[in-house]
Amino acid sequence: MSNNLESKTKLNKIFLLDLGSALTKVGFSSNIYPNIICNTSYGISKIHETGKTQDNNQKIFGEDLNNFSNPVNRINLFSYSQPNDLKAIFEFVEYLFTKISLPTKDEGLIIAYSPEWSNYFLYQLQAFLFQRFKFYSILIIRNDFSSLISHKVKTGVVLDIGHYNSRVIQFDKGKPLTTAGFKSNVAGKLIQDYLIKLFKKSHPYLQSPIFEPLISKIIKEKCLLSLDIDKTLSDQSLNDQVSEEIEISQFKEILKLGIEKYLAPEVLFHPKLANSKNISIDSLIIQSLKECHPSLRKQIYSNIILSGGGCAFANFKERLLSIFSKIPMLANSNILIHFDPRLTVWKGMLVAANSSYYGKNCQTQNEFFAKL
Amino acid sequence: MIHEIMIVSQGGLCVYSYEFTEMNVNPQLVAGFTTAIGTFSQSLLKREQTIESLQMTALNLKISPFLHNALSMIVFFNKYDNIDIINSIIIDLQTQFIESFGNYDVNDFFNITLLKPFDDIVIPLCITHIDIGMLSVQSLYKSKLWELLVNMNDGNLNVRQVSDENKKELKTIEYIDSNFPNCDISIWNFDLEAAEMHQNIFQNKQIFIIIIEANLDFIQKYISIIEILKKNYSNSLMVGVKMTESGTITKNNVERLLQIPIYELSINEQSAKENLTDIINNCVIGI
Repeated sequence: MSNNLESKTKLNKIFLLDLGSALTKVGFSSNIYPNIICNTSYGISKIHETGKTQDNNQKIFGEDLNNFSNPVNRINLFSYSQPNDLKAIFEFVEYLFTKISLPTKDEGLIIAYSPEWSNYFLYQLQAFLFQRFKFYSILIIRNDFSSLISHKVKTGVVLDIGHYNSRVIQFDKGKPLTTAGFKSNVAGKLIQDYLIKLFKKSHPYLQSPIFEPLISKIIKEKCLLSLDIDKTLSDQSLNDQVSEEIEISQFKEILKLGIEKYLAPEVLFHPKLANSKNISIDSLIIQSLKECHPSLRKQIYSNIILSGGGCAFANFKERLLSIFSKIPMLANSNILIHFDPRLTVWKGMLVAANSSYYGKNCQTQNEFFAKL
Repeated sequence: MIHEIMIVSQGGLCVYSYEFTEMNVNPQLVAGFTTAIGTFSQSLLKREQTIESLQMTALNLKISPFLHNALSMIVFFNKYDNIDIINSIIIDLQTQFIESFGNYDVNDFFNITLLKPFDDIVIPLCITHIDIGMLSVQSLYKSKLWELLVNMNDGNLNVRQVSDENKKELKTIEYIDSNFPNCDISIWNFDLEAAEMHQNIFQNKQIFIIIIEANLDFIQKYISIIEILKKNYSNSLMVGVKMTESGTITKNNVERLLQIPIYELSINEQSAKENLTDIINNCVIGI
């Protein structure tokens, strides 16, 4: 252990890599914000210029994908938190490190991983990173644990609303009470699908994957939660008041976004609106509370940590507070949320990198391969 | 329901038309158009093709040539109508036409008065049947609405025979409206709660009227059933009737959430009977 601690002091810098199911963040432990935030996906051009000898299946990543002028097929690197194509993920990671700065042998890395990833994938990823970039040491950290320590607490409940699913994990003194936690499919993808459904009649083409960036942008920048949805839906004039026009450049059409900006995120609390049989976010926390041992409830539910893009809607915390105020066990809970909940895992990685946690828990290249 | 019958000549002239509803179609315009697209389809491909029907948003138009293509019968009917029944009506009409007027030369038909007696054949043959499923949850609104419907049809023999108490228990009523002489309308009283389990009873219902309570609890609870009905009976017309007394969500927002056309009805108001009649008439006309 002391060797590890010494090794940490030798490191020039620590790279941080958070491979989220929707967004990937990469950067250094010395920076508050990631150097690159991009979609965890790649594109393959649909149109190939004649006469050019380039590989027809050449993958386009990150910013290059957003700036690409020709139509592309977008493929997510993860489906329901499982890797789709290992080779593509390795190429994606290589692209990211090439973009920020190629690591040297005196540098370390923290990878945030999902507990749903298979051990096989996690080992393969670490082996690739050690061999390709010669990192001195790598620390793998559960993304929910990273969210927990981002608020510098060790006991609490983490609600992580990702792209494909939402999870609630209870932590007692830094240890998860269950490995898988409580899961629901009520997450970012359901919001996307519901928004598309709301525009199905007026703009049916939005179902095409080529509009996924536009839909994501609308959800990220325009959507918000209502504090009282019944009141919002009963307001005759609200639609006109909040209505705004969004240009769909590909079709030279205008999308009128009105009360849909309240309706789309509402599926987090009323998933039946989107015809989903999964339980809502608030019910997920209440269900986890019911299944927690009564002696631990008070302590664990004193902190509720919100993490992931689904928590980033305006009024999200207030909405949860109003629901929990009616439940005695949750009425006095601290709901902890960062300014940008998308970066909660990132902030936890920063805490791990800038404390003794890294030195105590990282694995050097020699240790990693010796174990295999 | 059939809206209009026309007979057009090969040259594009309308020789006969009968209007059941006030569509105000210009028969000569339709005749010219159908003949033109018929010619277009024939010259489009090497293999001879004809256009048999046109689908519009809510109306369908069936073009059926007869007498060795010398004449074509054009029928305007609703999208929700059963095409097999329409086809059999067309065959009956054509057979009766040939029986009655087969001995004339085609050119004789340009004398419009010649085909006037065909009205007596068209009127009884073009009667169609419409089944309307009215779905609602067990509530005060359901019984009030049903009472209103039963009372609207008090003149109808079927209803008059039963006592006032039993009227509320009726599962089906025959709806009579003088605006639709060529249409028998039956309204079925269904429970929305049991809709998922008893789907076989919805077969052959051309129109579904769903009584909506405009609150989020109701919408959340029944949206999945409405989605199933929309998927399984895509040819049927589905509308919602929002009870203004039962919730505060606006009509436009209910339309957004359920993605079906919504009408509003105040069951406690004096005008409820007229409003309900308008809603049913709009559904039957389907335009």
